[in-house]
Amino acid sequence: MRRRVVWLMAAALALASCAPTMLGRAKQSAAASFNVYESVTPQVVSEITAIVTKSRAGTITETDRERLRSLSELRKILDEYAAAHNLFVEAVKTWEQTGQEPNNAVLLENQILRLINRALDLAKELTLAVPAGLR
Amino acid sequence: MPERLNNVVRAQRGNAGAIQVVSVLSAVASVAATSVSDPKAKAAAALASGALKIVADALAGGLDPDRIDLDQLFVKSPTQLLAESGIRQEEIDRIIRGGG
Repeated sequence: MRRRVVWLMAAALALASCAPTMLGRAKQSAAASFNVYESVTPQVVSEITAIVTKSRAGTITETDRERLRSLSELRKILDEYAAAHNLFVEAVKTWEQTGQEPNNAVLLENQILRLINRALDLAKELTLAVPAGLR
Repeated sequence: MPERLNNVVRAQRGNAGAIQVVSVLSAVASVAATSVSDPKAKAAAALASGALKIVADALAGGLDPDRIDLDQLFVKSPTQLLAESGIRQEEIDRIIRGGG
């Protein structure tokens, strides 16, 4: 019986040592957020640049103009996303340096989640490529 | 995929294998479903449910926190990136309105 208890305690300790800490989880969240952001933003910037170039050359179509309108909506969400993401990364950095969880970390993470949701909805409408796990 | 992303995230996938299909919507829905009205408590519930952690697992097969360099995770907004290419907000708005 005692041997079984010791074995169970050792197993529990081993499991606990594998579990990421709250800070570790926050770092993973920041990396995931970065991944989502970097998968969508370059496509938006590239498409907007192409349409503006066409406009400057005088070859823009109404379809281009409509798409630019939608891309610009997504751009605004991504602007907001970038600001929230950078604040979150800054908060996690402070957390790592000081060992103290900043008060706003949880709120920022929640805000990023909402923005990811909105950005991905619009990205799907625009038939942009989104990460496979989030389709 | 951008080189910087490769350095930060993809390199850490190791042999994690195929990306799992996980819906962000379900993660967000779990936050919305909470009956707590206080936004901070809701946010705490989100963190407790590990919603973004689910995203992290889906995208990178589980990142090793010790190998994540936070300094590499700062991003530029699309407006900043466009401005660096000489495209200003006003020009985009003018094109949308029908101007050249």
